[in-house]
Amino acid sequence: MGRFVLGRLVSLVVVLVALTFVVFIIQSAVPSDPVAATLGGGASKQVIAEKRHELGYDRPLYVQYDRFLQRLSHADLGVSLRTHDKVLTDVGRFAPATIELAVVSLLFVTIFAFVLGLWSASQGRGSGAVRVLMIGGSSLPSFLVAILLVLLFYSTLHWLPASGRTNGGTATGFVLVKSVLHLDPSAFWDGVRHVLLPAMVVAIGPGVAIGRVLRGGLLEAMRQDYARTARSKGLAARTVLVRHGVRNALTPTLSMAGLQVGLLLTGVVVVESVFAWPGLGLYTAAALQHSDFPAIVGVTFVLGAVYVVVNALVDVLQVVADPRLKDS
Amino acid sequence: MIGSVTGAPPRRPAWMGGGSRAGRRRRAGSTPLADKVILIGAALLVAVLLVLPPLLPHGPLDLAGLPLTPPGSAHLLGTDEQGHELLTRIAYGMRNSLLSAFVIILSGVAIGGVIGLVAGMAGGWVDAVLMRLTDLFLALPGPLLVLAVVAALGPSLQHTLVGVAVVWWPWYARVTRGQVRATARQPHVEAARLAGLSRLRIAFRHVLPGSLSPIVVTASLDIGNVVLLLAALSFLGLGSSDTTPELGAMSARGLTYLFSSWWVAVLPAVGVFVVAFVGNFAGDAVRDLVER
Repeated sequence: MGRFVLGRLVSLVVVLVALTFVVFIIQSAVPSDPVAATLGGGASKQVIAEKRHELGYDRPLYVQYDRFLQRLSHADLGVSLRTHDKVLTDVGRFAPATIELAVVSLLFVTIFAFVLGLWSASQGRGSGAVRVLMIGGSSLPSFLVAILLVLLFYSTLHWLPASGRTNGGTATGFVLVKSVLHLDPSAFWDGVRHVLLPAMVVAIGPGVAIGRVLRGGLLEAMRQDYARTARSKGLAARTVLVRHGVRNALTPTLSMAGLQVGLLLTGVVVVESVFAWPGLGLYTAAALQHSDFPAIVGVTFVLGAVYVVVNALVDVLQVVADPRLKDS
Repeated sequence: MIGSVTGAPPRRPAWMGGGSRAGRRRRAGSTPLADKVILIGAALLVAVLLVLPPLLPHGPLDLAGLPLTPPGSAHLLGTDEQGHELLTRIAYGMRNSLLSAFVIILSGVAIGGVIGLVAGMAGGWVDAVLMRLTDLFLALPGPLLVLAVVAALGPSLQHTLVGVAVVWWPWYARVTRGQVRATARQPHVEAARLAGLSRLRIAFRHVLPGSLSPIVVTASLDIGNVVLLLAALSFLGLGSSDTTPELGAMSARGLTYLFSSWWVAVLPAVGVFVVAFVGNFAGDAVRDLVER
């Protein structure tokens, strides 16, 4: 086990270095001159050239990459052109909202995946309705789901709010966590009401994808001898599915779940901009509109690193769940 | 077996619609007849999308009626905030999203196919280097990188296509390489080699044709994913910056009028769903027919 974790750690580092390289390449592909942009239109050619030299933009690419890595090692992601704050400060300010949204979404992903997986597997093979539902679920653009839920729950039924994290005031930090710590049920309820719709929208895509894999794993498990034994000793079909199926179907499901984190992070950008959820997604969407390139690169790097690390953790988790995988 | 850089067995990233191979043998609601009907239906829709838009009474930029007219007898799907006929714009938008998806997938097949073919035919260190590079790309979060690439190049449809194409080839490289390795071990390839044919000729005449079916399956299952990704990018304002009808951008602009004129935001998004749904259904049917 130790050797496996060590090997996984090494490849994690390799992938993270690759990520810094890719981000660096993207950054140096910006056609607009960042120096001219910071100095403004009035700067003379000589001033621009001096500034370029000072900042090292006239050096060869490998020297620039070295500087880029040094800045990264000092947690320096540059300064946002829009907010004029350090990108890392901005990320720290907007991350809590996204983390709360993502955690609640994960809850919904689990519910969706298990309900869909177990229900569709119990329908057996050959059900056209299951096929249409599965394919339909994975063809929904998240903004369509978001718009329809807002129209239903906000504008028609008036049950749930459609934007922001709280009623009134700009919320920062961990709203739900804070309300629990302060034993404030009304603030907690307010936060929950606000998070429900965006969390459900973020969860639908990954939930359906994981549910499909779970269904595949369950049907595979139901073909095995131990499932037949369980059935022939008189267990109910549902008991066999839950007790003998789920555990064995969990390995592929877990690996799918790790990969879905990438989709979840991208979905967050769209969903946050629909629901005006003040997190990293809304920050990115605003940065995209204002061509705030340092912010986009910074968020890409942070979220990319999260994705890579989560997938490494999932790989280790899988081996814990099924030690046979260690040798493959 | 080439060890993968990521340490884990090669898997398809979820954002490309990857799944486990478990349970692939028999799928729900799939019979050869149903699959053929689905494919014919999908082909009909594609044909309609290619032929219909120019035949509609209004062009995509014509001011056809009063702004924000609800769907009705005068305007089947209503008009948008400027008075454009939504039916026309959605029809053009669906056509554009389908054509863009085809471009992305063809470029993915071309780039990935060449890399996979070279790796699979060459073997040895060429194979090792190319496949490790591929694994590295597979381990990075593609859609996020697309955001950054398109933002760097400046938002436009061409740049979006380039950005997606850059991250869309690795899985095709992997699929092609695996199949090429399997085909290259077959007796007819051995015979061609003994007959003294050049490696290029063996690769293109004897290995590639026998390796196409998994690539075709992967590509057809991909259409829906690409349509959805492009729509999301366009929704975020990374698509075309001019007045070209793009479903994602149309829906995003319609959000302003959501509570008074729902159709402007909802109907283009439904258009995305229809294209993705038909694409996914057709892909599923192709897989069933090829793998049966």
